[in-house]
Order: sequence, then C-alpha cells, then structure tokens
Amino acid sequence: MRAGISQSRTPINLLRWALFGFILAPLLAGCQAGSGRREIVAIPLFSTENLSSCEHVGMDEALAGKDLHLAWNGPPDGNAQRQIDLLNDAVSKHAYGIAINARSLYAANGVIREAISHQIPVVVLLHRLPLTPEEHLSFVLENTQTGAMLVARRLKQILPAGADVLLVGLDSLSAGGEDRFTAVEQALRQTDPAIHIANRIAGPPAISAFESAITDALAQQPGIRAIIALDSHAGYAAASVIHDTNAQGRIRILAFDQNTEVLASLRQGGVDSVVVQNMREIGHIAISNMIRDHNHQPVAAVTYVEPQLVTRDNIDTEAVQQILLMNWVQP
Amino acid sequence: MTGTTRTSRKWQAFSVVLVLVAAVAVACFFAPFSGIATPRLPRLPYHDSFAAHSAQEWTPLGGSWRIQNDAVINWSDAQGSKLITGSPDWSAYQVTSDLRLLAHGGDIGLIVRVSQAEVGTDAYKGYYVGLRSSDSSIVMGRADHSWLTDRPVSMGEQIQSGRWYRLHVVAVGCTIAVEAIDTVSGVHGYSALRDDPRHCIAKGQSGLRSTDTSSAWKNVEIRSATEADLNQLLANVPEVLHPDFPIREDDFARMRARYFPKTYPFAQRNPAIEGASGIHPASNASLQAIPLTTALALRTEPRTVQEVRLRGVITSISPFYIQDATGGVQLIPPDPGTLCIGDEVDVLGRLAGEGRGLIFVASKVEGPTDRLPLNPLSITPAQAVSGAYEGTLVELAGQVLSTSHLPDGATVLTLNADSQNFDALLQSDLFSSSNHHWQVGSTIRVRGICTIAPNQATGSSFAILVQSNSDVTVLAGPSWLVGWRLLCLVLAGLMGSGLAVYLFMQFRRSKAAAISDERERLSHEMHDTLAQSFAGVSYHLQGLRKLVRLGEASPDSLIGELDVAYEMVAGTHREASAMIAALHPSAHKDGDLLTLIQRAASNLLDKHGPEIRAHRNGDPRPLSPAIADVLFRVALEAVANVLRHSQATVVDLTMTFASNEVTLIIQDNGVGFSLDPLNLGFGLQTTQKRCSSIRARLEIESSSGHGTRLSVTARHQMHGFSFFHRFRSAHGPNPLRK
Repeated sequence: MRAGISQSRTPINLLRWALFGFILAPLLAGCQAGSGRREIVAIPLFSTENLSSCEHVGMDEALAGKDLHLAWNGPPDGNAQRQIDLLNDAVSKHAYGIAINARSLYAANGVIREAISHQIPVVVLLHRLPLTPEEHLSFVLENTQTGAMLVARRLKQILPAGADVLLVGLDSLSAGGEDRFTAVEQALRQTDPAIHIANRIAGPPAISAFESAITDALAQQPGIRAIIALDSHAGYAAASVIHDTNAQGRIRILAFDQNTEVLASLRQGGVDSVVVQNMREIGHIAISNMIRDHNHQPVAAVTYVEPQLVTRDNIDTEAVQQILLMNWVQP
Repeated sequence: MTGTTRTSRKWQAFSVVLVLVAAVAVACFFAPFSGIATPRLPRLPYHDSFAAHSAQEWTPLGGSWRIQNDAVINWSDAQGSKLITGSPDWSAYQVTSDLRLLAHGGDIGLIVRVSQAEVGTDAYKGYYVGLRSSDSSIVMGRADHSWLTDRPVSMGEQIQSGRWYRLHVVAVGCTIAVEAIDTVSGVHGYSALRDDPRHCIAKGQSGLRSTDTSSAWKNVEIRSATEADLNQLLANVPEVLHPDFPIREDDFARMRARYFPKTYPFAQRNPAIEGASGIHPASNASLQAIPLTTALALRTEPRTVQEVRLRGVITSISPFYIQDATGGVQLIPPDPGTLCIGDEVDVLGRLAGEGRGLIFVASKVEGPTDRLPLNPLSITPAQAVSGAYEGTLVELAGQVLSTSHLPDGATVLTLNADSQNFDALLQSDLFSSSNHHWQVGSTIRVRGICTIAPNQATGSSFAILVQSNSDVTVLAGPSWLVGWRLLCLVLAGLMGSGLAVYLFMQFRRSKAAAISDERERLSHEMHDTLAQSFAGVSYHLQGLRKLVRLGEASPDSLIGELDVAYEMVAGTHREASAMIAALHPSAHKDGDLLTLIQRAASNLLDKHGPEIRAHRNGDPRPLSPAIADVLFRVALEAVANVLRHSQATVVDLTMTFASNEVTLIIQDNGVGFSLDPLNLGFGLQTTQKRCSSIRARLEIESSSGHGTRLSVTARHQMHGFSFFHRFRSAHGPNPLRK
C-alpha cells in the first residue's frame, strides 16, 4: 500500500500572488523606465545623406556582436529643435550613450550637459561644439586643417594664378561653420596667396537660398573661377547653378562633405573634387568611446579623423569606396 | 466552524480586497504615463473611414494631414511623412489604395510590415512601395532607419501630378508584390521584391507615406492575403529577383546610370508635369523681370499700384501663409489646390487689407524651386505679442489651461507661458491617438503661424495657427500632485499602511502558532516515548512490589525483575538523551545530516537492537535548516517505531541527493504492519504534518511480514516566503491522498 502527501490550494495562494503583484508592480515600472540602458542614440545632422549613412555603417560595425541596440534618427532638414527633442528623449530613457552631429553651435549644449550629468556618455561628431571635454564627453572630429589644405592645394593645381574664388556655406552659428571658413582662408594664404576670395556667402543649409546667392554672385563677379562649398548643401546648390548655367569646366567646384547628389555630379564632371569625411571611422570610434566609458577605461577627449580629397580619378578606388560604404551588409 | 477559523477567513478576504484596491490605486496613478490610450486597432478586413471624415485609427508621424473629398491629404513637402494603422502582428495581408501626387516631384506610396515608426524620413522598419515622379517608376525598398532601394521598375508612362493611381500591394512570406494602375489611361505596372528569408521583416503595421510632395490617398483597404493572391500579381512580373540593394557608392552610381541617367542629380523640368499641377515653372523670362519685394517691405513701405513679386516658402495652407527671410504674410493664391507646405514659390500680386488683416492677393504663382519645409523660429510669448512675428512660422511652449472644440471641428488649446495667455488653433482633429495627452496642466510646444488675435473669452492676446497634430509636442504631463492623483497617493498610502499592519499581525499570529505547534509536537513525543516508558516502568515496579508483598518472589526472580526494570529505565534515559540532543540547536552543525541521524538512532538502541546501516547517493547539497530539521525528526520517529514495533534486525538509512531534491529512505526488515491511510496512528500523523510543512512528499510502504519502507522527498531549499509555510502549517494539516 502506498500513500502520499498532496499540496492544498488555499485562498492564501491568491493572497500571496496579489502581494507579489503589489510589490513587483513599481519594480517592473522601474525596469520599463530603464529599458533605454542598452540603447545607443545616434542623432545625425541630416538623417538621409551619404555623410550620415557612412556614420551609420561605422556604428553598426562597432556594435557587431554586442548586446546593444542602435536607435538611429535625425531631422531630415537639419532642424536643431528636432535634434534637441531626440536628445531629450535619449536622456529621459537614460540611453547607453549618445552620438550627435549637432546642427547648431549652441542650441544642444544644455541638453548635452544634462546627459553628462546623468552619466550618459556623449560623443560629439565631426564638428566641435563650445564645450570642454570632460568625463562622459568626448569629441571625434574632422581634421579641419587637413581638409582646408587639401582644397587649397587642389585649387593651386587647377586654377591659374590670381584666380577669384567664391566661398559658400555654413554660417557662424552652425557647428563647424566658423572653423571651416577660417581654416580655408588660412590654407589659401599659406598655399597660394595669389588666390583671391572674391566673395563669401554664409547661411543656414537652405539650398534654394544658396542657389540664388551663388547665381547673383556669379552674375556680379564673372571672374570667379572656383566655388568652395563648405558643406554638402552648398555643394549641391553650386553644382545645380553650374549645371543650369552650363558653366562646367569654366567654374570649378570644390565641396566639403559627401552626399549622393554631389558625388553624382563629381562623376559627371560638375564638381571637381569633394573633401570626403571618413564618417565610417568617426562612427566606429564614437561607439568604442561609449563602450570604453562604460568599462571605466580611458577615453580620448578629442580624436581627429583625417578627411580625403576625392576626384574623378580616385573615386572608384577601393580605399575611397570603403570610406563611402553606405550599407554595411546586405540585410 | 470555530471562531478562529471565521476570523481567519475574514482576514483573508479583507487582505485580498486590500491588495486589489491598492493595485487599482497604483494602476490609476501610473495610467496617464503609460501607453494605455492608443489608437483603436482595426481588424482585417479594414476599410478607411475617410469618407466619414474620420481617421481615429491612424497615427500621424510628420506631415500635415487633412480630410477632403473622401481622401486623406498630406499638405506638406516634409520628407517621409507617414500615417500608420493596424496591428503590429499583421503578417500576410494586402493593401489597396487610390493615391495621387498633388505636386510635381517626390514620391508617394504605401508601407507594409511597419514597426518602430517615428517621425523622420526613414525612421521606421518595413517595406515601402511607391510611385516616383522623377523617373516615372515603381520604387520598392526596405527601411530600417536607413533606406535600401531596390531596382526601380518603369511605370511605362509618365507619372502625372493630379491623376489618381491605384496601388495594390500584397505581402506574403518574404515576398512583396505590387500592381500599379493609372486609373485614367488604364496602364498597369508590376514589380516584386523577394527578400532574404533570413532577414525579411515578417510582420507589422501598414501605412501611407510621401516624400517631397503633397499627396492624397482614398479607399484604403487592407485584408488578409494568401499565396494565391500573391501568385496572381507575380504572374505579371517577368522575374522575381532578390533585391539588389546597393551598398557601395559605385553601386548607387551604376543604378543611377542605368535607371535614370537623365534625371539625376539635376533633372530637366518637365512642362507636361508642371502644367498639370497648375503651377507655372520658374523661368527667367516671366516674373524675374519684376522687382522682388519682401514680407517686411509689404508691411512697412507705401503701397504701389503695380503688382509686386514676393519669393518665399509656403508655411501654412489653411489659411495660406508665405514667408521669406524678413517675415510672413497671409496669401490668397489663384489656385489654392496646388500649393503645399514647403513649396518655395515666386508670387505676383497686390496687398489687400490693413494692419493685422494684411493679405497678399496673388495673380500668378511660379515654382516651386525647392521643396523643404521651413524650420520654425523659437520665440517667447512677449515676442509673439509684440507683433514682430505676425504671419511668421514660430514655435513656443506653454501650459494647457483649457481645451475646447469649435463647431467646424477645430480644436482650441488655451495656453499660458510667461504670464501670457494665447490660443493654439488646430484646424483638424483627426487623430485621437496623438491628442490624448493634451490634458489641462500639460506643458506642450506648438508650431504654427503667429498672429495677433485677442480673445476676451480666454484672455488670450495672440494665436498660433497649428497645421497638424504633428505640430503639437507634449513636453511634460500635468503636475503629479494635483486632484485625483493626490487622492490616489493617499489611498495607496492608506492601503499600504493597512497591508503592513496586516502583515505584522499575521506574522505575530504565525509565530504564536509555530510555538504552539512545537509545544504540541513535544507533548506528543513525550507522550509517545517518555510517558509510556515511565508508565511501563511504573507498572513493572508495581508488579514487583505486589510479588514482594505476597512473598511470592524468590531472590533470583527479584533480581531478574529488577534487571528488567533497570533496562526499562536505561532505555527511557537513552530515549530522553536522544530527544534532548535532537532538540539542541547545535545538533545540526556538528556533521552532515545522515551521520547525525545515524548517531542519534544508535543512541536510541541498546546493544541488542537492530543494526543501523547508512547509505549516501549523489553529491551532498546544502539543505535549508527547516528541511534538515524535518528530515532529522522524521528519521528518529521512524527508527523509534522500528525499535518499538518491528522486531527488525537491520535498519537501512539511505539519503539520495538529486539535482534539485533530496530523498531520505528508512527501511527495515521487520514484521511490517497493515497501513490504513484513513486511520493513521498518532506518530504517523505527526510525521505527515512535518512533511507537509516543508512541502515534502511522504510515501510509506508496508505489509505484514515484509518490513516497512518510509520515504521522504523534499527540495534542497525552501521556496517562497517561509512566512507562508509557517502560516500554512498553522492552518491545519493537508489531506492524505490514496
């Protein structure tokens, strides 16, 4: 004969689970609030441009095999307020880290400081901001001097002595605007003092405004032989004007920063050369900085990444194509 | 039913109610901050309600959406404007919609299998299928917060603005197929994409999407799809290939060269397209000869009889506003249906009205030359009320004082910031999902056209003409410590306090019950062992006394009887010593449990008792004190029974450690007994009760002449709160199962 003991199902079980629920509910709510802790928020300047795609590739590569998720989103139109909204969201969900290519020199700095105060690693990309590197804040920047020198040497190579050039692009309130203006002017003085900057057009990245200004400048100063476009929108506007006025060959365009249209125009001969930023490398370093920060390893306060001058002669080389890689792998 | 049981039941009922009320209070408190108020999820099959002027089940992400003439229209050139609906679990389904480009350029289409959608150009995961006007192609691709475009397929004719097309998209498995029909010419176009099964997006919502153009959709119908539906479309596709997503710049270059060499990066304007839209293409010959004026000059300089030219970006379409670098002004275009937000145009016309009612009445519109919506200026209420930003696209934040609705369906949000009240007038209120957070007390940011508009009813001095729900951003919910939320906090606090008091009382009760239990157990054991032994000694001595008094005892028999009495007293002494040793707190710390049991069992036996043999199987694991205590006492009880009743010569103690439980077996080769589960002896009842207190499984096998086997199986560690086990054991034994 065999006998056994069974467990009873008393109302106490109900009480027990109800009590568990009561105690665990706030804890679960806390877990929900902390769901951003494995998420890296990347806020590009223009979410859809080649410049940003390359950055995305570099970040994806750095995140391969790691238990981290990349939340990638930015304003299509370089809206500084939208960048601030995305930054605020990242801070409120306590992201693992934030990488931002800021539109405005000043607008996002308050939120960046707030993120740092919450121990969220922030990496500022491409253009410096008026913030001092500190714990949880690092910079991965273009080497502006190198880029400017590449342009100056190219101009000396392709222009006749004493030619007039037009400088078009970022305004002084855009991140990187003042730096590029200054660096290009200095590089031109050093490389070929005879080159004359006939006009400077600065403004926010509105293509049509650039087009109008360039058209007016070219009409007023027909001696202009080259346009130095300090950002991709200015580059597109310059290429558009040169295309519309059939001025290819007569007026050379040297543009900073890659986008698909400018590169297409380069292939067609509308643009002479492009200072391509190695955003793939910049994105990779940004992620590495965040991970090192979380692992309490030393992080370089400022890392400079060298740009490269791309012309029709070298655009199809493997080295350039690897920099311009727009998707890491086939999905 | 006893009084104690009734009280216990009342306490249980009270505690359950208490916990439930507290849980409701907590849920109530957190409800406004969760996503409870989500749009109504449609079920398949679904047909839109645009004809009934409703879009409640849709969520806008960017754009400026209205319903006109049974169609939902995005009046914005913003890139990647989306309207999302459906369930995230939709997998095999088909979407059919009529759609129309309202401006030239850009593309318009449908998105399927959508997840992780947010405001942004490619800020979603899913597949896009659309019509692109620049190369008159059907474009398909995959987005995952970046865009992978597949080979475009020519529509076979010029895709024209203002013409209705019908798009039918079927998504089954990893294949997405599309049929596009020109509803005027009847031309059909087909395309399909077969994604890699290892990575394809299996399920998601559905939606509408446009880029760089205003556009309209109507008759949106979503229903489930089968392989047959898919095959019907695939029959018209020459070859279904895996997508050729370009991943390098030179891949893009080859794709451009092959598919649209004449339109990229700078397309020649096509008068056929632009003529259809009603807007005249920009040219150097027509308006360019007329001097350009500015919005500021329109306000500040004397009016002329001649028409003037103004170049600016359309910032609002209801009413129309145009803005240049100096400010904005209301516009009446000659053909209102052709402009959308973001169009940069040249307008020729004259001023009408005075002061705040200044309106630019246009006779001709040229453009657009660009299609990118302006970014608003962030201003303060003081700046807004100064009039310097009249007609300008601005954004500013404030706290919601009240919400109301006008008879035409517009929503009025009265806001306050910096001691200024102002109204935000939202023309359409189509989407319940995006406005449920506009509660009184919330802090929101609104984007729209600033205009001085005193309102005595609300005390507002100016108004913001908001174009779309997407232009309202909730920055913070209402303050926590107000009204009902404070009540919830107090209620939750009371419930929590009550719960704490209840738990404390239950703890005290369970502690008292445990002490009472232990006393009861000790009394039972003393009754079973010491009391009976002493009674036996007493009876024996009484018999001996009787023999001596009657003079019937010889010296030899007396000595024999005294020896028996001595053995009985010695046995009782050993039994008492074993009990005391077992009760001492240090008993379990001196060695492993099996050795302790063996040592204590040996103490119970005399030199003629059965042989005790111990066996250990498996790797010994640490046992919780409660389990070790129960196993120890059960083993001693069993050995004591063997000694008293079994006449066994061998007792085997076997302890087996499995991965998550331990089994102790006490087996003898004695006479056994007949076990009646419904009428257990006092000792077995005690054993059973002990086992139930640690949720151990007790098994007893015995029959006459074949010995007895007692097995106890328990987990290594107690799970859950010991409070509950103590509490359970204090509320009666478990029933015995046959």
